[in-house]
Amino acid sequence: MLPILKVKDLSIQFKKRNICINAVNKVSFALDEGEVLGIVGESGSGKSQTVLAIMGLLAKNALTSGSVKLLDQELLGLNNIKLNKIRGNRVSMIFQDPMTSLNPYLTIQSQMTEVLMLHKGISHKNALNESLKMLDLVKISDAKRRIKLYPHEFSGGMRQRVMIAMALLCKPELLIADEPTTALDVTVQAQILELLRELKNELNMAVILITHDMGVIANVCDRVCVMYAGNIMEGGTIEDIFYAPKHPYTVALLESIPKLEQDGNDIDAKLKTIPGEPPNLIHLPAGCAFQDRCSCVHEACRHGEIEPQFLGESHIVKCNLQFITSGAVMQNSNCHLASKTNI
Amino acid sequence: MISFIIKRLLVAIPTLLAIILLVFLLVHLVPGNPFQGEKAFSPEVMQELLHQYRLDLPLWKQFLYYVNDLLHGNFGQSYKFIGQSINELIFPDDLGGFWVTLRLAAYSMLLTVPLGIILGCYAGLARNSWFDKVVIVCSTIFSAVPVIVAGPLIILLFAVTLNYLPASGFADGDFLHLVLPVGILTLAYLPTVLVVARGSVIDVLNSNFIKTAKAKGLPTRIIIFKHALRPTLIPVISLLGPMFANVLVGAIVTEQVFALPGLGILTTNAVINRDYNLVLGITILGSSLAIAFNILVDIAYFFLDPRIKQ
Repeated sequence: MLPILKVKDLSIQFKKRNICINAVNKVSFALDEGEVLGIVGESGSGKSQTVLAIMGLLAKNALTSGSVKLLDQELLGLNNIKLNKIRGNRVSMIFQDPMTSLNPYLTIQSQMTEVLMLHKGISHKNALNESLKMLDLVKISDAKRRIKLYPHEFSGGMRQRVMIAMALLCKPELLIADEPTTALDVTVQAQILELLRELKNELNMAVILITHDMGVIANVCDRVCVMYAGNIMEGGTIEDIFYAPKHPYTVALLESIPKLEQDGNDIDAKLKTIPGEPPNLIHLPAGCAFQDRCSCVHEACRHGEIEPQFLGESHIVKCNLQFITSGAVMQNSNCHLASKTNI
Repeated sequence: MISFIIKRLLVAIPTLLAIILLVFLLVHLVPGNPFQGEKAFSPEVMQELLHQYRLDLPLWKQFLYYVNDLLHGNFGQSYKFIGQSINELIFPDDLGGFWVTLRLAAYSMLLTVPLGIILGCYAGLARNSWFDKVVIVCSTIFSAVPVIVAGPLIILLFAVTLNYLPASGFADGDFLHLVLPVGILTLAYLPTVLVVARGSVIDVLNSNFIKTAKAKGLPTRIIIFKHALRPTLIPVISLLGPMFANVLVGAIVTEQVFALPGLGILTTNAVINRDYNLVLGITILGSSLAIAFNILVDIAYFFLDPRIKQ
């Protein structure tokens, strides 16, 4: 069976005069029906640009290469008229900031029904009925009255529910959620995630969830891609990433999650961070993008392209792991992976 | 809605009263009186004149009399055009005075606003294109050159060198006589509307809700006309209130350049002659129009932005 979405070697560059920004570098992943893929990474790691490329919503000066296939249809390079038949219909997207993502000048009704009337060609009356059903589904009570309201009459969490309802109107095969809970407070965040999970099961759609939050990933996702400076550093199932992380970046990322209980007697332990800064995307170093911050860096990491290695069916790591496992980086005293990891 | 309008009107009353008081004081602060001219009157005649026009009363009494007259729709008597009331001077029965100025201002507003919005929006949509660049350069030039400079130059080009259009005069509102003054007034105010509309379009198109509209697969036509147009217009509309007052002032200057018999000549003469009531009348008329326009803009907001209704 074809995967719903198959991204292969997707690269995105932005050209401005003589400057070239390498936003995304040869990213590959696939997504099956009913599967939730999480993409984590710090700001500027290319998460959003990757999904915007899938939607065909990149800025005008973006250059893309590779392939993005929705079932058997290639999406890269499609013109706007053809993309418009897919966007909001077969692939939908919800955004980070529900406060500003709805048009403040139009009623919820007008913003919802237009999607159905456009993609499904149904009458306004039927579109209204469908929209009401969808608002019920995202648990907005009193939908009949509320659909006539404007976005400013809703709270942030409610607006995100409306956004979700709007995205799901056409029963898309793929839903892309770009940090859907970042702007919401924690309790509302949990409700929205729970809602997304329920809806995913109900509609059997594939979901891509972008987030900064490892906790969100662990809660909702089946598989995870960890991105850094435009590369997928490590990808795998939740178990792979959380229980057997191999890439030094993933390990460092997981270690920097604050924990309530302290390790041993180290009461004064500080919050762990990854020292340094992400590389400049205009002048990426040769070799691994993480080399400057990696505690297990080897001479070989500074040259050539790092090839992704498969560790099992779905677990993929873009790292020169052999140097870590062979102990070749042992002289680097900071590297605590070498002793821990056994492959 | 109705209570909203009533509220705005009630706020307008003290504003207008403050303007009347201020202008009244300013006019009367000017040294001398309207009857001190080249030909000196004897003290008895002067006293009689001042008495006749109530100018011998204390200032506060004069003010109260004036406001009382205003409430009866009467701008008072002219001190220079003997026997004529200010009402007759500003609103003459034939085409002249305020009617000329209003026609000039209204025609150029009717041209400026739609043209500015269309050109500005188009430039914003095609940002950084050659069209956008040409429009921006032209706007900068036209907004930098004052009417006093541009007027004679345009007369020189179209009336003298090319001999296409009459150089000056009103000719009872003949269309050709109005082309140059209306044109120059339009060119002077077009850049303001245009630049605001362009910036507004760019802002709105970059906003998150337009990103949502694109992600919904809406065609560009619907995105622009249904989703982007209204928010784009709001800054332009808010500009129109104060701009109308500016255009009125611009019209007065333009009338001087093109020798039109409007409020322009009336105003300059009134100030030079210390024709208190005429200066007051014109100023109050202009202020009232500006206030009225601002109220209209507020009402337009009310219809454009649903967030104001609460």
